[in-house]
Amino acid sequence: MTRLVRHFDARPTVLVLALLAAYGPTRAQSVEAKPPESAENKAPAGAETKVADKAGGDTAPASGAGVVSEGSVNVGVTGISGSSADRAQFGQYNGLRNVGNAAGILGIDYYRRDDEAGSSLLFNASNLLLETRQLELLWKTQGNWKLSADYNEQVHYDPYSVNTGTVGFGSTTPQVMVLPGGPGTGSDVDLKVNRTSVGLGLWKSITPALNLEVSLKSEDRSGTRAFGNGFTCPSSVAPGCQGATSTNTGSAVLMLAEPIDSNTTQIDARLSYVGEKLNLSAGYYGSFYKNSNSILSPNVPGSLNNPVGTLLPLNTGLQALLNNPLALPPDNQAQFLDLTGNYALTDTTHLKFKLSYSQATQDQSFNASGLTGAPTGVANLGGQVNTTMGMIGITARPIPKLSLLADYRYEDKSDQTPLALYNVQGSAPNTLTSTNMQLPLTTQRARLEAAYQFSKDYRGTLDATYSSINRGVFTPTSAVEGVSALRQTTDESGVRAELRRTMSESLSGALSIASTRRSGSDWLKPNSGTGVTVVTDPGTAFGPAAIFMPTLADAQRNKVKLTVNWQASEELALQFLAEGGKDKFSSPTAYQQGLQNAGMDVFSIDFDYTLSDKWRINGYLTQSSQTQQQSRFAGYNVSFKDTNTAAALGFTGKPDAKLEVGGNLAYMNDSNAYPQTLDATAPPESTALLAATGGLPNVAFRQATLTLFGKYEIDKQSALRVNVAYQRSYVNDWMWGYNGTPFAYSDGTTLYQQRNQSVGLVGVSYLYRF
Amino acid sequence: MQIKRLAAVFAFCLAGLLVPAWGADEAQGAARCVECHDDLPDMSRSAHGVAADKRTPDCISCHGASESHAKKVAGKKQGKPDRLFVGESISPASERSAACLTCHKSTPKIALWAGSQHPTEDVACNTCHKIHSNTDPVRSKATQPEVCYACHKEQRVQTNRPSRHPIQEAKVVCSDCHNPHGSAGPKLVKKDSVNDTCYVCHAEKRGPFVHPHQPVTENCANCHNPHGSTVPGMLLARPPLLCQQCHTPHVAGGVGAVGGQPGVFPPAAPGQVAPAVTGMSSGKNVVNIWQGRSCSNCHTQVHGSNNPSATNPTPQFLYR
Repeated sequence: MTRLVRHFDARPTVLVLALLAAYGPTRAQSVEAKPPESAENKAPAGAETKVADKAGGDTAPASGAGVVSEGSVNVGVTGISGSSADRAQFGQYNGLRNVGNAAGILGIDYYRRDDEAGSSLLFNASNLLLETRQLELLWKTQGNWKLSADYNEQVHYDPYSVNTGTVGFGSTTPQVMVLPGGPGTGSDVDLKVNRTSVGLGLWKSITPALNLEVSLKSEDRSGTRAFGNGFTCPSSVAPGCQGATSTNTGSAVLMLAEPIDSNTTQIDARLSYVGEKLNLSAGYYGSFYKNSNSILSPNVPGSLNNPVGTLLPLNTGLQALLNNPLALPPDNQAQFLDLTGNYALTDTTHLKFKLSYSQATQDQSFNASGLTGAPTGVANLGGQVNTTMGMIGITARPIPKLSLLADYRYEDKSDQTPLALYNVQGSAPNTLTSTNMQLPLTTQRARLEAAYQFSKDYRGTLDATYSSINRGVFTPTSAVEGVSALRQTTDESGVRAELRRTMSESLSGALSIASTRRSGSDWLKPNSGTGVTVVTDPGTAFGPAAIFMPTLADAQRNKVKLTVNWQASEELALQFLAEGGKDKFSSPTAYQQGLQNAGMDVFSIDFDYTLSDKWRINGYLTQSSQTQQQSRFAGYNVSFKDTNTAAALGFTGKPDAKLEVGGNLAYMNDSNAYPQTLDATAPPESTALLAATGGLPNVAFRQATLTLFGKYEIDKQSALRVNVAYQRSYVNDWMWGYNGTPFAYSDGTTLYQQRNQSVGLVGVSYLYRF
Repeated sequence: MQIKRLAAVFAFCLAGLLVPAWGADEAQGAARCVECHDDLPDMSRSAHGVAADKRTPDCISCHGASESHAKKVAGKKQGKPDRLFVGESISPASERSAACLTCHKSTPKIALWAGSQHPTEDVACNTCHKIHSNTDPVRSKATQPEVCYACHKEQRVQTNRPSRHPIQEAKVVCSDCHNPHGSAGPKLVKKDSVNDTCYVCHAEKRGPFVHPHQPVTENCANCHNPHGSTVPGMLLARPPLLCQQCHTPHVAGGVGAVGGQPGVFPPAAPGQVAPAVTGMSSGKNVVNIWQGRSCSNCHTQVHGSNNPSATNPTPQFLYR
């Protein structure tokens, strides 16, 4: 029988398992309760996630196969070539960045099932010898109760490493030290963040119609990430600080790692009612963030390097500014209540709805945090944002061939944060004081859709959408700088048409086109003091340098998408995708600064070929690009383009009953180009600089990964698995250096990532089943 | 192994015999299926294979009574099952999903399924879920993304870019941020908004702050592409370009250039009066603006600052 291979069935497990194998010991490798009977069972055995079905009801004893108990232990070792610098890309998240040239493999899996009672216990532990270890327990009597527990470690290594002389780098009191030997002569430090979480969950069927689910998760986060401070004198916001001279530095930029030591605790509870027509649930979600570090207090010396690397004393006022404490994220809380459900009005007409209310608060004491200088009488921000959301949707089929859909969503975010005079700018008699600002937000979204089945094979769909964002009246006592124009409301409406050939034969696909338009209320011009002024004639009110943000500007989006699935033969399935879209932003003035337009296109082909009952190959080729046209007054016009080519080829096979093999070759080439021309008003020095440099260099990322695996069933109880992987990466990004010239902070700190990276991996593991 | 499969299939056919609600004819009908379909994969470990649970479906629950298929009449072409999930005569997506929703409509996370993006695009439950198996790839973190990539090719490319979430490592997967079964949030995000979804793992960005940054509180996706990017921080565009889409730029850095290029640091290049950066240059020079953390070299608190200091320079420009 001709088998229609839907696009999802393209045996992607080859690719993902090969990729996982490249990263050494993983769940896919270590968790196997029994030998896979076919390539279909490649996914980790017993790899149920916490997200499992929650249908309620009582169990009833039934005859069955009795008690099933099985488990496995997977032990082995992985040899890894390459230095830590070679593993910058490879080792971002897999815990293999700094393990040396060998890492242990240890995983345990246990499954017990009582068919008479309908209960099961699943325990899985993977990557036990790495920073990415994970343990999961799921114990349940299906339809009656379920208990879950999990422990998870996660690590992120920033691909860029730091070379610095700062003492206490990563602490809350870093002591900045200028590198006497210059950039690159300091100590190497990795920026790394660890997450460790513990979770508990319980689901209970109270009655056949009533279920309760409660879960708790606590996650600790620790480590460091890129952060820092900098200032340039003179500045209108820092009266008294003096700029650069031939004998003094007037500015500095410093890399100070953000010290992370925090906990996020989340509580989820849901009571669900299951009725004949009505399904209803009431839920609570609470999120509580606590940061053990409230401020970062740097100690900056009196001399730093000037912009060309000459060590000079800091000019008046600058050292004190750089030694100001930096606020770290404050403790905050958010709690949500919701009522969600659906109702079957008739067999063909259904209603769905959700009503929710949330409150986000932040009232961390300034003094207790070590943050001084708050307005008199203000002990904490007292931040509070209350959000109400309502959503309703209806689907109907008035006649068999016609489906109708309508939904509406309304959300109102009310910012109740008190105002206080936190902002001071300038000096007497021109001091400007202003309050913080409130940021309310009201959004609406509506959709109407009609789909008509023209024939057995063809269906057409037409839909119309409307959305609006109201950002509220600008806080009149607050001030804004660095922005040309604001806008209170934006409205967007769109239409989409789609023709679909339903999947009933060997060829199926869909073609859709969509278009949206956005406009909004009158523009608002920031006053020189506080508040904003409504502008009715933006063409004259705003000058040639004005920027109208892409999130606020009038805009037009057009998009087209074509997908085709073709079962070319019994053995060969193909999938094609072509998609393109363009955003065009309008300016109310004759000039257009900032983002003018953006575009994307994607072309992709996937194939899946069954060579025989035992061998299969698949792969894909995707070509995509992104463009952005952007300009700034008296400066650049940039025609940014990102071009990406991604391809992969994989195979799986069973040469004989005991041996299973597979492999994958994946390649990606991503190139970012920033060609510039000059704005007509660009000054001579910009013209000369562009001529001298030739423009910004391209940024390139290339990666090729080859993975192979073989699994041999020694006997019913044991198996041997070998993984081989090789990855080459090429990163050429001028962000932290170009042409041998690093970007150096004022103390000589630099960041770097090795341009060419290669990592080889060979892993051997023994699986014992009991 | 064959016996195990047969036992599992037979077990839930037997379950049908024991449930009072099911008539003897239906049960008999389900038992008839395995007379021919004796080669189904083992699903004894899946929820649909738990015989002790009265609600466990049998063949007929999902595929229908299929009398014309079960009763092969000599000389006549065998009919198809009432509901087919694969193959030439595959049933419409809505019919296939209806079979699953008979039991699963009460599942809270499926409450908003009707009219959501997937069913309106003809994605049925079995488009993503594999039923006749002990392992359902979409429910395993190790294999879920590949199921989603079957349709979402653009995201497949993005998640392989250098700045990304740990999707390849199966630590974060699509369903950690999205509810493909329906959601009140945009783009099927799990919570009611993009920001609330991001704050599940990134609660330190939630605030509120003394000095907020408006596009941050409105939508994290104003600046970030959570699927992946070549720009560190998963940014949509490289600073200062990203920042200068909204903000008026500083005077210097009018044309992009980086240290190491001719004419940036001394000596001056032919045609230049002076190099772009000298010892007397302001800190807002072309190198500090285009390299390092760019605008964040000074405006470091880009997500907002809780610093209340009303002393000049007050932190309202997100310096500290």
